[in-house]
Amino acid sequence: MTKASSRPVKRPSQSQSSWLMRLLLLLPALLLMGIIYLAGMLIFSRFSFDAFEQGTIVSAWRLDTYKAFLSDPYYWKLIGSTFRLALKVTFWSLLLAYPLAYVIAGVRSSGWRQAMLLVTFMPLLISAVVRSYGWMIILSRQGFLNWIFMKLGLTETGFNLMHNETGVVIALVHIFLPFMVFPILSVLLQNDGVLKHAAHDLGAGKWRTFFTITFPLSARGIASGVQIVFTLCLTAFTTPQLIGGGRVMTLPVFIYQRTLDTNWPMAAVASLFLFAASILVSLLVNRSAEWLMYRRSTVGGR
Amino acid sequence: MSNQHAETTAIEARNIVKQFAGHTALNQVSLEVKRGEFISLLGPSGCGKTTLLRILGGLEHPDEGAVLLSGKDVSGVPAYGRNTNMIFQQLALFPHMDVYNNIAYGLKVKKLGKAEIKKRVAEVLELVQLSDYSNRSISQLSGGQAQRIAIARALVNKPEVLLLDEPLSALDMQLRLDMQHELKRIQREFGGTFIFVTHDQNEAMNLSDRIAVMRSGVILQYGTPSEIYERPVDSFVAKFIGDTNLLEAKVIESSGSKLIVECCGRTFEARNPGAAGVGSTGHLSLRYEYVGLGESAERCDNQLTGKILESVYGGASIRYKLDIGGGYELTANVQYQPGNPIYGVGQEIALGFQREYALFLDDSREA
Repeated sequence: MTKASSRPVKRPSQSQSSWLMRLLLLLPALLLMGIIYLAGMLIFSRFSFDAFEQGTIVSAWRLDTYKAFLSDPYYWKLIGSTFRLALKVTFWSLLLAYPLAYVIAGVRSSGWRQAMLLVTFMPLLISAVVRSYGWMIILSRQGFLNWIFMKLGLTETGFNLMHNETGVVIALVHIFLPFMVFPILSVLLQNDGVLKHAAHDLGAGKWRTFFTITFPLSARGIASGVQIVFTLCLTAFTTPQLIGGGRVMTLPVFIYQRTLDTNWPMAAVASLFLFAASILVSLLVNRSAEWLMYRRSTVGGR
Repeated sequence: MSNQHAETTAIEARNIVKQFAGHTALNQVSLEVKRGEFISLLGPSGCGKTTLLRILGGLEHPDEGAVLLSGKDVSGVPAYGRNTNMIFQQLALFPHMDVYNNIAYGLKVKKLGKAEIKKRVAEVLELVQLSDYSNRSISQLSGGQAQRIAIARALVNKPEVLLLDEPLSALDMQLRLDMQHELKRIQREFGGTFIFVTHDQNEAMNLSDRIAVMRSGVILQYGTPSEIYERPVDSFVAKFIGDTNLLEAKVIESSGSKLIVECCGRTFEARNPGAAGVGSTGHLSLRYEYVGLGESAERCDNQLTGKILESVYGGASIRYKLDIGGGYELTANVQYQPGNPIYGVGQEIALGFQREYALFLDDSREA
């Protein structure tokens, strides 16, 4: 009896201690995020209200830099080219990644699957700088690709593959491909073969099964992949800088240059804009994934 | 189902052989199912029953042999070209569609008109008694409801044969029994041919017109529940369906269906369901409820005495474990009504069994 009655008293303290335990476990991550990320953001936000006059930062509370950034057509062109680059890279990665993920998901032998995953995963093991230099060797006018093109007689002087958007897109697609493959692969593996079998059993052929079952059910994976690759592209700096050779201007490159110029207010405004844009894109992509999965097959099906 | 069709064959498997990575899943399996029949493929896991079902449905293809649907060879036809439908063990309802679109899926594939689809979905929802659930999403369904929707999704296509792959195995006991009744009712009203895979002998007995008992890729016996229960072809079938005493035995005298066998150091009269001759060795199969105790042992062909080792009260019956000497044990299941005698542990008692209930099962039949 005494034992039973003492139990309810003990429980709250137990749950309290487990709550404390959880907080303790979270603390290192929270501190890191708090100091490096949040504090950094706040400091940078503060800079965005300062003024930049005759090459020096003047402490102030003004919206001048915001106005300048949002009203100058040059900046909008810059924003446009950044988004266009991200869109292109995302499009091509998706186009390459989906069939690749589909094939890997369909491989029955685990040995082969491991091998294919390793090959897909490999680019992540090498730093972005090294990969970018690697691509320079391949893409330059005297590079490997142009050597092949010239041997084939397609061109006499070689194509312009570097110091332009094409080269940057090629290199970024290669670097970001795994980020597109893995989320798609994971949803394809979750939706195991039984749903496909069920569709076949109900009379649907291979294509119909793909478009009505497999594809809608992988929308979540596509959405994650698109989000990751798109935001990574928006913020990519090394590759556009190295392959673009200063001729492909994107927001991150612009921010880097303004930081060097000590025009920190402008760098801060552009950064915050990029941050907001990334979040907006993520939300938008999520919504459209939901739509792709559910709307089409419920309301539209009537 | 109307009777003039009762004798025609709905689906037939002929000498099916299927191998997976060197392991023979099905070895020369033949099965014939009549229109309107409810049959079960029964056996332990790994016996090949699901593989056979998937071959009938076209989700697997046999290495040898043929599948005939209404007399037509469909061996090379994939699942989406056959008029069979399957209910999967995992149900496999499409999670991104609501109930209506799940059921309508097969009809849309067939490009039926919207009005027709609507009508047939409504009909089949009524059949499974879930008329108001059309707009529910799959995640909102309970286990039993999901089960019914899976049945509806298959039946709406009016398949020639409905294949059921252990669809009730995920349900708890009570729901399972309810769904068994439900399945029988649906089959009666719908009138189709059902092939049901299960490893649960009670489920097979409750539902089926005929049962095919399978083991290691072959069908051991195919017959009505009573045939299989009362006249099992070998000791595996006897043991798998119902409870039975299996005692090693050797034939010492044979005259037609009557045998004298040596068993447990004694001789018993037994029935010969096969062609066992003198010298055959095998098992004597004696169902628990065919062993009589006390007074009811007096009229039996075979009589002996035993000592009660254990008694388990089961409400309608009592199960006794008996020591019959020489290290041998027998189990008896005795019908019980209040007022009947209950024997205590340690009590010496007369026991007996009739010749016709003691089956001699020849072991040489088993490969």
